Amino acid sequence: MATTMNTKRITTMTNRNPGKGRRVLLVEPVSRDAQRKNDRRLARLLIVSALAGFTGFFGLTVAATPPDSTAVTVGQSAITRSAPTTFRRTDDDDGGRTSGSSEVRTKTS
Amino acid sequence: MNTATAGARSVARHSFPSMGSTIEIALIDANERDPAGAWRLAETLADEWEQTFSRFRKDSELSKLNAAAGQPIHASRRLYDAVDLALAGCKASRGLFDPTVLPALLALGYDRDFSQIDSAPSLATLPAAVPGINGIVLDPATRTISLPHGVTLDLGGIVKGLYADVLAEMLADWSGGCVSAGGDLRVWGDGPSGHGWLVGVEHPADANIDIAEARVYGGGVATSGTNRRNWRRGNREVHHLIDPRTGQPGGRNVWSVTVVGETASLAEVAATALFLAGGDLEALDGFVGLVGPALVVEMDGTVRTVERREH
Repeated sequence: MATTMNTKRITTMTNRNPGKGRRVLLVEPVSRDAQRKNDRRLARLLIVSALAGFTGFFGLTVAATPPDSTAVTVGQSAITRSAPTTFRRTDDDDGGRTSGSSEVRTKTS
Repeated sequence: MNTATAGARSVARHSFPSMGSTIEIALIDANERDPAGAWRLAETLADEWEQTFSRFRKDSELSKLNAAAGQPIHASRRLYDAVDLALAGCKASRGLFDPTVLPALLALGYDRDFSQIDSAPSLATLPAAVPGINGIVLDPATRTISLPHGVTLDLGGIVKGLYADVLAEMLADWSGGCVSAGGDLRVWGDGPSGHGWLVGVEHPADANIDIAEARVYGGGVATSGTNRRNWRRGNREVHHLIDPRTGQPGGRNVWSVTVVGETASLAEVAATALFLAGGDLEALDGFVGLVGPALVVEMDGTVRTVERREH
């Protein structure tokens, strides 16, 4: 609905200003942008809900067949959300550091 | 198992081969409890993962699903949720991450475990079409999956991250830890230093060197690149990251991409999308608030960072 209103408004403005017909071009970016925001919102909801269901399920599975009860926690997570993180180059001075400097490593998978 | 003490915190490490790569686990405060049960849990879960998701085992649940294309199949909750998440990742990446690239991978010769791929004298003359996810139907009420005729799935681009996420959730009562599945990792709590985890990023030109590092306080980190899974077809070097738009290996001018995300599986999907987009930031638009920052290493050695996207 909001997109339709914007479209009408911009079209009307264009009609009042002959010679500035290119302003009609604004109509498409506005509606496309709104659509993209909706797509993003939907995609994010899908991912969050899918992952929540997935990990929730595995918690229940482990509760049913725990290989070692001391190593399993159901319905409890110590995993926190990402804190602000920045990458820092480590090869500026000597062309690279050995992998032993970091505590864990991400590698091409 | 190795146990070492760094500062006041001890860390136990365990690794084993699985899923065509290596699983590595680190747990903090290992002096206070025996991690043996955690190691058994990790190996049991990895076996179950292979049995469910391997496309190289004819008896895996995924292989059976692919063989049954055209008719609805009742799926385990594990497979159903993984496919659901893969489809969500496809939509979030606007199709750059696509689990239906399997025919293209097979056409390039990636039809067996990577360690067994041989160079072939010639390349398939035509790229295999990537059918896309339209037409795949998931019914949550009956937990069935229907693949259209001609559509088969490869979940290799997401299941290592999922393994890291799920195992991390299972081990969350350890004060800190890291699960790495072939380099896609999930961390929680503090590492040996007591300040999150210092994550090194493998240099695409030299596996013994870190090109960058980031201190991560919780979440996932994944890297997509061409330096490990590449092989020759005729006079051409090809790799496993298929661009769904062409059916051919993609990622123009990009060597590797590393993404930090809320989870390892999200980071893995986003890293693939960003790689195939040539490092173009717009590839992460569908992951706003879920991933970032990212590190892009271009083929000429240029390194650039992409900042976290909050909105």
